[in-house]
Amino acid sequence: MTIYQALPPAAITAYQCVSAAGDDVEALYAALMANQTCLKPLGLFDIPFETLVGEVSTALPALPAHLKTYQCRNAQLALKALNQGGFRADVERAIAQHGATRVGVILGTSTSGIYETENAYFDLQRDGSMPADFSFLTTHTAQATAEFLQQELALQGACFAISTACSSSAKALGAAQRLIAADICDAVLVAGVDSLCRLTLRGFYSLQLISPEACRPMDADRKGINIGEAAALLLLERPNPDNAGSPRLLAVGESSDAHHMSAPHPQGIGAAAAMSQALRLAGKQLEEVDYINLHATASQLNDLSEAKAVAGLFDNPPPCSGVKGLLGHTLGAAGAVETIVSLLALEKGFLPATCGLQQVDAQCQIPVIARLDAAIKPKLVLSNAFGFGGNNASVLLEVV
Amino acid sequence: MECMSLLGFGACAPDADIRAGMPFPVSDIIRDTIPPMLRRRSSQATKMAFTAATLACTNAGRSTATLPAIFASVAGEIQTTDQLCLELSKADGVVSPSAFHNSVQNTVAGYWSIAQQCSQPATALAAGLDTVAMAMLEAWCQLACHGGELLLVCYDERWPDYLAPGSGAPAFASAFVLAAGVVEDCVAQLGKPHIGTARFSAEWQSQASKMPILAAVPLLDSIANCAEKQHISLSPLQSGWQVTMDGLHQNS
Repeated sequence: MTIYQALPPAAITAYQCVSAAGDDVEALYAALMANQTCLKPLGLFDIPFETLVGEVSTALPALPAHLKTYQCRNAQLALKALNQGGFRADVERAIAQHGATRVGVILGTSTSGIYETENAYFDLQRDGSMPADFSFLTTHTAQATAEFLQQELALQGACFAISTACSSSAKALGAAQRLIAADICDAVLVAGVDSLCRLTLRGFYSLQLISPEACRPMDADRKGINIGEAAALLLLERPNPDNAGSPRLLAVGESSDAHHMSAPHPQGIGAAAAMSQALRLAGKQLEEVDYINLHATASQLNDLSEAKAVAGLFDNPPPCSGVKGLLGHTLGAAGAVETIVSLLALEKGFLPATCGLQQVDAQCQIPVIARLDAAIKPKLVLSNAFGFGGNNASVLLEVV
Repeated sequence: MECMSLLGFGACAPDADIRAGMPFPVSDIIRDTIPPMLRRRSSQATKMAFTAATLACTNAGRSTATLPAIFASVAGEIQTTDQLCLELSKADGVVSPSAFHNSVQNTVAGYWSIAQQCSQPATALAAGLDTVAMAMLEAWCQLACHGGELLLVCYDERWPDYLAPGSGAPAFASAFVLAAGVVEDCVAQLGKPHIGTARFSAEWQSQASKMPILAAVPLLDSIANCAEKQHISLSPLQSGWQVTMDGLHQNS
């Protein structure tokens, strides 16, 4: 049995997000304040059933000509996020400060550029061959957008993807924290990016998990999930006096359910283990947690399992909520997107609402808040992300 | 952490010619390493990864149920994904729910944790041509930060020919049980993965460029056959990720 040692925190010195809420983190904050769902009918492609999705419907930038081989919706979403606000300038400042070999890129994605692969297979079906410009290793495989970001920023450090389905980018934050703690990197760009694609829409539909209407996390009458897309970027750096005011990533707790490929452990044992592991790694107590940003997909089994995990772990659970009724489930990006939601809660001082929630499921015996609470200013927050294969991660964040 | 200790390793290749050509023991897929419920429906990737991982744990004298695990692969469950993409491109295509959840990159990680009843963290990592190098780096970081021991598995099944013509073969898996720091009677000691000047031979440069998971082969060769301290490349890329191996503690 591994004995886990405490880990030094990482400073989160910049973050940016493109989502169904809009093109930047300000739009995300405004959507959290308004709490009106951003879910809409799917426009990107046709599907043979009804649902709503969290689609990025604004124009996506073209990749620079010398990096065209990475052209896919996933990389375009990442580039769009990189260019919002002052985020790129923050990364460039970190590169100038630490050097190109000391700044890593860790991507969390579940399906990478598979939307373009799907399009290429229409050609394959029709012509018997893939289109001439199809580039497997720079669009389809999981690391593609990480490599794109590395080259776009002229970085020369560690660069890889974590792809553990819906926990991908939460775990990417953990890998990034370790790269800094192990003195491989001084800064790491963490990117959680997933685009809409036929595979996930139709795959989750085949599992009877897709809701025809806007999803209602933790609701007694929830009918399943909505898929979303997003690119969420975070810059992690070794703490120093210059970033003393930045929020802190304290730890990412990780665990395996060891139960089932597509269903969570019914008692939420793995989810509880991930949350308690995060607290243990950071040397924090259960009572210190002010708010839990739930994974809360609005699937019957996931919400029940997560509620049991929280209720089982905490004697007095803190207020909880989930934002997938607002943005959809952004799959591999969800961990990073919802870490940014949690950072907004910490930095702006509020608890996000659970968009779509009307009546909390009586079996979910935790204090889920339906409405935004601007009276509570959290200092310590857990943000959960759980994926296929029983792959769990819980991100612990703090403001000083 | 000064170094990590290699406690045991294993390798698997379904192709007999590939097995015969490797300078260290390589096993065919061993049916008994795959639980009966998974034997029929699991992919070549899953079977190879299970075989290599079980061999590494056995050689290290470690339980398969207690180690955190890193599963690294360039293309993951590409055969299953290919079948799904073919279905998605047909007017009347059918997406099977089990094929869908078996298409994720962490399919092996999920089944390994379920089959071994191992609730330790399991991660799935991909880094293109640097996959083996970045997997070894993540192993280093986990051990440096958390101590203890872990299982690292690098695997790729054969890719459908039309995805990357000329690439994606042969299928190969290797697995390593690694421990933080110096462990007595270890097979070898490995230093911190870093960027350096070690490069593959021209032959391995070419082979590993076509099937990047083979980038583990020169390291496995040195572990099995070399007692001196060596700098060993982990990547066909000019990025130059490498590791220093000290085989002094080897018995052979």
